[in-house]
Amino acid sequence: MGRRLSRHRRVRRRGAVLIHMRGFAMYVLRVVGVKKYFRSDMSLARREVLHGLSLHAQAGEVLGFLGPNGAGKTTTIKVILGLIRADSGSVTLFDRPVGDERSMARVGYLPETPYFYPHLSLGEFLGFCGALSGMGGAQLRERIDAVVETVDLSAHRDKRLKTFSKGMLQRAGLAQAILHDPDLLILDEPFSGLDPIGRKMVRDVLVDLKKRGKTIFLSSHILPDMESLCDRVCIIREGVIVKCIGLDDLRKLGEGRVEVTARRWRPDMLGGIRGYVESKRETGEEVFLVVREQRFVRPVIEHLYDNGAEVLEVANEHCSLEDLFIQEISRPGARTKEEKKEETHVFTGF
Amino acid sequence: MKRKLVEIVVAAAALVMLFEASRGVEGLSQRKGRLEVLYLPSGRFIEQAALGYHDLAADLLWFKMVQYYGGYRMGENDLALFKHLVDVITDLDPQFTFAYVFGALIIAEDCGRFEQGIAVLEKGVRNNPTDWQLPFELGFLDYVYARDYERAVAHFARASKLPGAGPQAARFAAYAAGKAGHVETSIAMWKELARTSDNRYIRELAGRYIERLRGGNFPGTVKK
Amino acid sequence: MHTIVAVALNTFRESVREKILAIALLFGVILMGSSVFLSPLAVGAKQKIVMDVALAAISIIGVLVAVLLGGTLVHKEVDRKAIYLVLTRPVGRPAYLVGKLAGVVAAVVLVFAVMTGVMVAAIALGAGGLRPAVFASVYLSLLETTVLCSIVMLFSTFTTPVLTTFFTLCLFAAGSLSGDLKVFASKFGGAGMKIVTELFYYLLPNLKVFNLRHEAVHGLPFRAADVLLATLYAAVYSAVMIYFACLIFKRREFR
Repeated sequence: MGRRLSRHRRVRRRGAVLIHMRGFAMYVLRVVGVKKYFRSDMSLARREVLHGLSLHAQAGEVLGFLGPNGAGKTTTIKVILGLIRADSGSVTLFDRPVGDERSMARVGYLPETPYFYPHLSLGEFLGFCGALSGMGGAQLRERIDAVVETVDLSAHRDKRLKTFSKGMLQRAGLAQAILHDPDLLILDEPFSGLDPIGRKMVRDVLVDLKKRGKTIFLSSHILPDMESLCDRVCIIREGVIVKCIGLDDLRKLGEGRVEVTARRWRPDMLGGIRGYVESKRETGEEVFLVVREQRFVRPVIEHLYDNGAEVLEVANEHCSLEDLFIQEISRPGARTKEEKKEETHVFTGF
Repeated sequence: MKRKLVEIVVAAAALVMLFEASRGVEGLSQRKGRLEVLYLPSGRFIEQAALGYHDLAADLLWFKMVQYYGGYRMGENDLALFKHLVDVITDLDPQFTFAYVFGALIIAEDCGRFEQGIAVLEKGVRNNPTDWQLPFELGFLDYVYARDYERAVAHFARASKLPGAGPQAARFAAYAAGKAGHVETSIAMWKELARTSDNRYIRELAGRYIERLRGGNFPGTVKK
Repeated sequence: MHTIVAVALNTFRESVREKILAIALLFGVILMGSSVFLSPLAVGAKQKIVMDVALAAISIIGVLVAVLLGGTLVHKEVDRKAIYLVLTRPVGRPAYLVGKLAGVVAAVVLVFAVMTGVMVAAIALGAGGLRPAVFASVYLSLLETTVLCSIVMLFSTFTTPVLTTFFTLCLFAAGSLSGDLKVFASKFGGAGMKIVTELFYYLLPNLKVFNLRHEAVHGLPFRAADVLLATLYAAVYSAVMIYFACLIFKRREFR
């Protein structure tokens, strides 16, 4: 699949490039087979942190990036941004290798727990970031005003960053990430440190960006927000992507099954409906049943009422992101023991 | 409330203890201070250690030297290390004219070592051939201490021809050449020196010398 | 180019607002002021002492500022993840380093300007002696500080602030020592040793060429050509330091 397209099919707008190749949207971000070893300080042993990680983000989509702590999320992001060099594999942004200045001009990044420059005021800080991105003059000033307004920090524009609370720093971080109107936003824990109002603000900003066709790469632990914002989610575990799934497909996973919640349950009631029920969970007198198929719901409910139980709730089951996450994480080791032993070897020579 | 009181009392006691301790070691530190000058290493070494700040180092040692001399005047030392200090200072800053002048004078007068004083001034002349004060001082010492009038005249004359020479140089050349009874001339020279110097030690020295000359007593002068 | 200016301006702002700069400046001013007060003790060497202290203070404060400011510059930015914001924008790593150095040197120039003002006042109070050589000496001290800043920058790209300070001060001491070091080395060891020590000697920054204090204090003549040569040397030395800093920094990873 050649990606070099004849010139006349490219439409170039200021800062935004839309390339359509045979009807397929371009991959804004492409990570292929990336491996990364870290050498620990004291010993010569190498530790493989990323084992052939591959993912991609299409133009205009919101891609979620999930994983347990230590799985390699931040390392992956740093490889994508060129802060760390991959030992093998490739990373391309807007079809150019990582580090290319033209690509980097279209990327906005919000690192985890930003601290930045304590002695600068917010206005000065954003002015600096804007200047680095090639903005200037009245246009930069207007843009700063707009962005500061968006993240609700207008009242603090002239205050020094060292007086900012954690939540305010987070907003300032988001402000600098969107300042130059990037086409690709890479956000590492953007909701961290924010109160519910702040989180809503971030959500609103991201929804707005999505509407305008921006691509967002979002790494977070706040699953409900991810679920509502993302189009697709990739789960990383022990340095590999173990699952990449669209949120629509995720919702479809649980289709067909029905959840029934009932009160005044007795264990002996199970006998009559065992064949219809896939799983149950009891807490004292209450029970939570998962009925296999839609058509079994009626007999199950009748059976419960007949035996003196009371049905509280009937709902179509859908698989939540949390369910998927826990499922993927708690599966036995993504890689076999042999594979693990292989990558922790001592570097014996040149 | 009670605890606060206890804290204050203990704090006061601690301070008192501190003062007493410092007072107790004061004698030791004074003794060490006197020995410091003894252990002054050579100019060469200090030059290395001064890391490019030679002139400043020379100034710091100058302060020390002045204090050392002051101590001598109060009977605390015998100027045994004075010449060494002068040597080190002039090694560090060869253009420190006044160090040669003051040093030579004290070495000749208070240390009673005329030849060493002359040597110091000659080192100064070598390092500062166009500075009039040094041959002038040489002439002064030759006249007053060695009573070597010819040499004195030669030095004064040379000094008077160097750039920026004060009028005293020519005047003193005249005095020395005139040989009009060396006592009167000497008193006249000392008076001039006292008048033109802003160094109080030199003024005091001149005053004492004039007294002695008037009294007809010339201890320590080198007879020809 | 404008990114270099942006980084430089930002670095200048950050540096100037650091308390350490104010403290160093205060220290310098107090030092110079005290020399005027203590000069009566000088017993005849008043003018010399005031000028010696003033010129030495400017030089020493320059060294201190270079080492203290520069040493923490890159390290602090990495610590605070501020550097991620810079390096993920279309700014080349060399441009970043050059901008940082320019910013620090700008802050140093400011410090020197203030201290020179105080010096002029101090010398005026201390019975005069202001000459072109005095200003030439200050200019050369500025060059010396610039060279030190570039050395600090080199070390700060790969080691901690403490070690950066330590190594830079060692190089400052080594660079200030007279050529006796070279003579000493040549007297001992065979021909091979001699070559090695000569190589090492020429790698060290020769800081004596930036020392015009003696001439300034004693009104001795100096050659404009020497000042020009020192300027060229400073430019070359700093450029080479920055080049190696860029080489190292390019390879650096930010875990």
